[in-house]
Amino acid sequence: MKNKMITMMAVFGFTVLTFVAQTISASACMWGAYQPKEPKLLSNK
Amino acid sequence: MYLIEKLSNRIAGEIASTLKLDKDHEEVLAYGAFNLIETLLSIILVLLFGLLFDVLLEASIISFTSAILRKYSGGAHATSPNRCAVIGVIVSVGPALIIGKINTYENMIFISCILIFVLAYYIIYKYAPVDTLNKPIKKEERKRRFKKQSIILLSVYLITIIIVAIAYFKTKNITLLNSIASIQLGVLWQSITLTFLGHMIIHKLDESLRILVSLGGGENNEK
Repeated sequence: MKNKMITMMAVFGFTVLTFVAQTISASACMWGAYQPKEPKLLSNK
Repeated sequence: MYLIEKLSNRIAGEIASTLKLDKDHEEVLAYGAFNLIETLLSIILVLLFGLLFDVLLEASIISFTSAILRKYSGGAHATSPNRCAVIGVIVSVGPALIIGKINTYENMIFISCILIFVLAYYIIYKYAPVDTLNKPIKKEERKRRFKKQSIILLSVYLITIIIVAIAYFKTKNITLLNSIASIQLGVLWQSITLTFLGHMIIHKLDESLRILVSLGGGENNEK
């Protein structure tokens, strides 16, 4: 039960964070005035 | 490594080990977590200081207007996420305080509106999108798309101002006039960050904050 909960939370985190990363990658810039280095997997797209 | 970076890497690491993901996907998760935390932090700080100085509406409008336009037009950047958040507060709450203090005259607002939008259209047409070393925009097609989206968004802002202005003339509610001024300042600031002057301003602010932090106990305190 506990393992299932942890996996579900990880899947949720994966979905949200991947969505944010993809959205930022499709933009010229993010919200603020600091830009972290874009991961290779996204910059190659 | 900055605190936000450490936290993002930790979150990404936990998710990656649970789902047995490779390093490349973990990097993407860390990037997403970093951006999410940084964005939330920037918004919360602007809301907090806006509330503290009693300019919540104006500061929020300035911040959201410039940030949404920034998504397509890019612009000058700070060298640390913490200084970026502080600069965000300064450029949102500072002008909001000015709007709150001065008497906003109708004529002045509408003349400045014309001047600011003419300048913004020119700057965006000439410079947008402005990329960075950490996230270069290489493809010409992408550059053209961002420029077009920036111009469309600028036009949406202009239409919004016209609608709010009509509402102002009907109600004579000063908050509406202040909202128009806030949209203008958000557009003006974001347009300036695309130019050499904007890069100089951000660089000076960035450098001043760095010196201030180092005087108050070193760079480690900032992290």
